[in-house]
Amino acid sequence: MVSAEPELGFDFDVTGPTGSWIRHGNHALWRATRSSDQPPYILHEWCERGVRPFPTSGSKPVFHRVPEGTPYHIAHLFGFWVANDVDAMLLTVPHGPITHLMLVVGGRTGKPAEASTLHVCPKCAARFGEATFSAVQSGYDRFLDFALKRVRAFNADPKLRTCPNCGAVHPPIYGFHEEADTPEERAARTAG
Amino acid sequence: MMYADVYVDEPLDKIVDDWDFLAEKVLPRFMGFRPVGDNVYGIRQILMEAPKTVGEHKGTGPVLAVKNRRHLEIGPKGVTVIKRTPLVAHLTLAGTPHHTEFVYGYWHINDMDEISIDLPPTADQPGYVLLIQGHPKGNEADRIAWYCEKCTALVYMSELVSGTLGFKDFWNWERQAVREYNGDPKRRICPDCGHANSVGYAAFANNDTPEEREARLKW
Repeated sequence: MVSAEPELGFDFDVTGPTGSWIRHGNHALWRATRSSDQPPYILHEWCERGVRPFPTSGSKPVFHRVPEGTPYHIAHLFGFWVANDVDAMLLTVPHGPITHLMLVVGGRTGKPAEASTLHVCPKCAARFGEATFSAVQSGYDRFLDFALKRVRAFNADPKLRTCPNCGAVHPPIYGFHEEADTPEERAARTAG
Repeated sequence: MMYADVYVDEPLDKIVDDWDFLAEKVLPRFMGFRPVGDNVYGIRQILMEAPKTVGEHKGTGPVLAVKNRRHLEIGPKGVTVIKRTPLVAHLTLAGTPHHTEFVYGYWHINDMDEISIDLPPTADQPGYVLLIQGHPKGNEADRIAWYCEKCTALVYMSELVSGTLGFKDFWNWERQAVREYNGDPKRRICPDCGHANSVGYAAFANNDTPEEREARLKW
């Protein structure tokens, strides 16, 4: 007889090396470590009035919730904007010369199920180019693969980068995983 | 910064409530369990003191965590001690009975996963435990249970359908369940092995009866 013991729980070491997403139960999790010689990740949220940057606060940890449906972008981590069908949370913990980060998406049964990528015009804050990926249940990394394909199409076509509201041309952007960057994407990531 | 031209030109605190749950003025709102959006959050200050003084704090004070507490879960192999390390998140998966010594005197069972992470103290801030629990919906529930100290058989259980009823009654329900369990010694007798189990206690120590206070120091 084959018997499988139920899993009670598991540990997720936030201080571990930057890695891929873990999708387990009600949440998807990701972690990163940044040193002081790297530009800090800066969370931005889109709202009707424009873009709001959320600073980290020196030596203290910060825990911020991004409400479901709110487009967000983390400068130097991913160059596109994301809107999830469930809340996201970012924990930032400075620890001497390094900063640990944990990004969590989830909280409802069956979610995250969908995630969208979009762009925000840096001149007028208009949203454009939104596309939804509906198979997030199969792994958050699959959504990021989808996003990277869209990043590359966006960078390759000035028409896709032209704001439908003001006509400004969006600079090139970058995907989630730095190791996959092309030289153009790496330059865009550095610029933030 | 790419978006500097379209930044909202107002202080963040004026336009976004509670943007940092760990901020000094925000944190006290999370001392119980507070549902916000798709999750239920709790933040507990880690006391740097022995369990014998827990519960001596006056007023309606926060739920506190004792430094040397053990975190326990029950599975097919019985009770398991969960090692806790600062900045290592532990995910207790839905359906797993879990209990923290000296903090709450029962086993909590969620229908949603629960993430807990200890944040180490900084120069000007104590350490905290951050709890993130998925937000139940519909028939999803929270349960408080007692398992036999000797054989881990289920002794008594109370259920709150928090997915429908919400969390506003959570602490009243918790207190009532503890009092029901403690109120009749027969309820604490294991149906399997006959062991007479210890009384339970609630998360908020300030309403402890003398026997609950004694139990809080014990398990």
